[in-house]
Amino acid sequence: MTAVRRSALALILWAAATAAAPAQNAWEADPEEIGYSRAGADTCYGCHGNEPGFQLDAMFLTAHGQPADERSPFGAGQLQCEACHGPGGAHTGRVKRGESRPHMINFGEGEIAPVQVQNDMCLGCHETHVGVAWDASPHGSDEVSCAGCHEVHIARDPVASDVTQPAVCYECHQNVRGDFLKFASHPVREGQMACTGCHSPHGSMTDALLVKANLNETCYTCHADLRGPFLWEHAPVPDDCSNCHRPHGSNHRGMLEKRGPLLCQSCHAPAGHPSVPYTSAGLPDGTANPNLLAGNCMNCHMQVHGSNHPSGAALMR
Amino acid sequence: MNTATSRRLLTISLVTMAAAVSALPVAAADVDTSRWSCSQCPFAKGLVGNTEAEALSVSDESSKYGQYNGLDEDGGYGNANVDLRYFGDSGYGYDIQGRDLGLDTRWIDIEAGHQGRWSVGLSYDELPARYGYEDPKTIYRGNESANLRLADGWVRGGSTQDFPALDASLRGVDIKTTRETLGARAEFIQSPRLRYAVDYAYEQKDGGTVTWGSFLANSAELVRPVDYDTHEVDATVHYGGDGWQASAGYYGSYFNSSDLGLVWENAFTGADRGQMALAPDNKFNQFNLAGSFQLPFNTTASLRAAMGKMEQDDAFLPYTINPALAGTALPRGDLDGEVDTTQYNVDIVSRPLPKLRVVAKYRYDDRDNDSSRESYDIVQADVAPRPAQTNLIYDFERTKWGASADYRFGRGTRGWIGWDREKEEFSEQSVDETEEDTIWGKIRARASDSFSLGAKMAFSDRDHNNYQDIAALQPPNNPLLRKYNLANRDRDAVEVFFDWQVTDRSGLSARFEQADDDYDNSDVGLVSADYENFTVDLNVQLRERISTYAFVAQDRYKSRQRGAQSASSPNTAPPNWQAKNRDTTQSAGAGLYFDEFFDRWDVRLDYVYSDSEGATDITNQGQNDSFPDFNSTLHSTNLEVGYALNDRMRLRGGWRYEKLDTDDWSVDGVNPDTMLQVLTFGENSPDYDVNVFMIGFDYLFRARTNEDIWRAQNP
Repeated sequence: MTAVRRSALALILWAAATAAAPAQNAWEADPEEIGYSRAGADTCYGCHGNEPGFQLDAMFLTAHGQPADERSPFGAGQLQCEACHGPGGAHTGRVKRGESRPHMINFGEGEIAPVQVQNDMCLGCHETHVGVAWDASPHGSDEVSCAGCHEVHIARDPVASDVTQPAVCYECHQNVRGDFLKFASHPVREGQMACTGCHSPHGSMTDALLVKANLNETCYTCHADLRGPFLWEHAPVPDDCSNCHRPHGSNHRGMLEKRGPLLCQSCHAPAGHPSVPYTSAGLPDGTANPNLLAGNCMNCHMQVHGSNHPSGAALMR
Repeated sequence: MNTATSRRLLTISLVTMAAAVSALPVAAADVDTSRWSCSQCPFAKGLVGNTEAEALSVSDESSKYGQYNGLDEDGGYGNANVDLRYFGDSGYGYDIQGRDLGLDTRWIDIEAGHQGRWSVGLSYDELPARYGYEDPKTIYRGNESANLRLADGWVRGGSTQDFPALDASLRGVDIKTTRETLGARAEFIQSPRLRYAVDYAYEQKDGGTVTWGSFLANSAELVRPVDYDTHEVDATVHYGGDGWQASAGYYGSYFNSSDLGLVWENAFTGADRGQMALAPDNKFNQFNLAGSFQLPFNTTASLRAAMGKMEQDDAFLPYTINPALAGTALPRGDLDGEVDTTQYNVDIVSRPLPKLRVVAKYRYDDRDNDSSRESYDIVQADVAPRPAQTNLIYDFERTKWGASADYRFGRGTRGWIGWDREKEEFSEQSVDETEEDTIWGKIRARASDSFSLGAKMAFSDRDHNNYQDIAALQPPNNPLLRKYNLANRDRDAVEVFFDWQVTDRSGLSARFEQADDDYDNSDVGLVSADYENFTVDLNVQLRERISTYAFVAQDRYKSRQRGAQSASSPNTAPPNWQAKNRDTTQSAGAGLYFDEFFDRWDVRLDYVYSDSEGATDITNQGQNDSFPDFNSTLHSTNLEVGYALNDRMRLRGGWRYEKLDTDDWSVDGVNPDTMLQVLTFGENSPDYDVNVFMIGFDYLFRARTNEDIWRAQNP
């Protein structure tokens, strides 16, 4: 490459770079170039200490505000507020008339700092807590910001409590909220279970971000009695619990996809009683058909999850 | 411009561009913080938090209302909640959280340690699960035990109409389980790079659930005993290096059931007693490895692997306990069940350009069943010897590849496109393998600073290889049947949404999604399954301390299946009946919150509504037939008012009103003797109307505030 071409390329790149970073926002230039504030957190308190919504005081009730932990932003010699919000030299410095004050890195969806910049700040310390799966996970791929779920200027992060966590998840997963109001659901509405009982929002080995390596292993963490292996297995059960169940909730008892006998008849059509269309004539004011009422198919084939009885091939023992 | 200058400029330009992409924090040691005294920082000292004492009054008894909240009985309850943290000198401290301490849903968690170095924790969690249906009654005694006896004076009969002592023998039965979990955990942070964590839980689950006991010609609804305990261990070590991180872990689960089987006496004439197997003891050991590595060209590779073994060798029960049938000797005393599980993932994420991201994925999930295979001389339901049958050994192997790319077109506008292929292999099932290809695309755009919208579409096509019925499973299925988890399937899915920040204080969002499954090669079985859902959410911050929200939503599941009725085996009838299911749920909610209203008042009002309707229509031989709808309508209102007596004490009052109406044709009107051959609990679908009143007193252990410091410095 000739010197002229090299110079031209350099000028183009320099122009592009400076065009991309017109102001001294905290993430748009080298931190050493922007510089840090003169007095650290005291500088921040000077303007934001009493500003509604900043909740600076509450931050000192969190892990971030602990001076005895040398890893904490407020540990000895650490950068205090600027550890997370980036270098504040430009933001706290003198601003020329007509110019707007450069921004710090603020956190959340819709903030000026790009999500990638926000998340890099968090991951700078929390990478091993988040784990290896974030980048390729659906949340990582969608560029969900850490602050989209987490609040750090509050004594207890709502997403860390079983009671308040679901409301945080419903902000994006509104379709799931209605499931937990249905007749049969896991006890999320009651605050006895959180979404993270089953899901690992920072990434996992499954596309649905389940806490274990697949769906069934996740279900077995609470339903270990169904793990088996059983002598007589019901083939769709060890394959995938969601073949029959809707884990977020259903109108049908047992969180089933639909009620029996039709659910069972989706896969069982031998001659005789499994092939019969059971109609409303079998309701209590009619013939009261045992293939339709109460447990329907399970009135006899009760071991639908598998049987360890030597005579249990038909899942009746 | 000379060569050296142009090289220097090139270098500066590249550095500037890199900085524009991501400004990483500089090392604290590089910054002079000697004047950063943090004099205004209210570092926490001593005890901080809140304790609450409550008295509750529940107006009505309902096992469904109290299914998971411990308030199933009417009357008074005393309760307490605690949320306390102690910040000691030098980083030592403890943290106590407790909820519902006076109820059956109590939970307490205590953690102590030195932040950044180590911590230990203990927890106790209790979760009741009530049966949920109203007024179950049984003729059996010894419920929740492994031996169910008929009521004294019981007279057997050929049908439920022939039980002269039925009414006299029926007793209400409380069907519930209680899950108690004792947890212990520890974390040790050896260095900023290396930490260890171990989590142990011991869970006891006791009580009873519902099952049915059959003697082929008849059956009875029974309480199935639950007496389980499970030990779980989860231990991990994490290491974070420069540009890489890794972790290794172990997970173990040891499940024990006190009872091998449930024996029950036959209420009908015939065999005296029956016995069914209960959940067998099992254990699972799994080792996990994970690592991620920064590679050149802005590329990260991550790998995860999990290798486990499930084992189950609980002793077999005899073929039958019917003395009239001479069962043969079992071929072995237990299954010697062993399943090896192997999962590994590889993800490669690359950002070759600042706006472009490329992802490649590989997933492998294998269940390799090495359990024993034998021929068993089956005695069906303790009454009928059957031809010997050999147990089938199911293996599953899933392999998935995927690639996607996403590109940022401008600030807030991003597009994704991807392709996935999933191959599943099965043993001893109707197909050997299925293969599914999915292409998908997604776009999210910010039309303005306050309005963004997006859409996602996915199209999948799953095909199986040769489909055939399993000869070992008799009687054979209709050859036109395709089991839906193995069948050919086309799936089309679409999702659209918008988020609108209407003003600085209000936001409106809406989402719609639809997924249609078409089982195009299934003449018998599930033919189609469709899902649609929409939601609209509104949030408004009315004033600084007054906020409100509202939402409405609807989802609908629709499915269609065909059947082929035949009295003669094998069933080769063409499809001759059809069923349609439609489940529709509408939900809505609204809330109004006043925080520190008139300085001292907090008011929270929430209302939630959900209405579900399940419809089933059958078409048989040209005749249309409809079942009554399954209905479930919930109204729940919760009002909580707090008044601060001073900065440490608060009074609270609350009222919750919840009303549920359900109609379920499978149990409503089904008395214990309604079906001739099935003796049921005769329960009803739940309806309740419950008021809960609460008064409470809170004591706050206040943290220092910046204002406290200012006052101390400026007396």
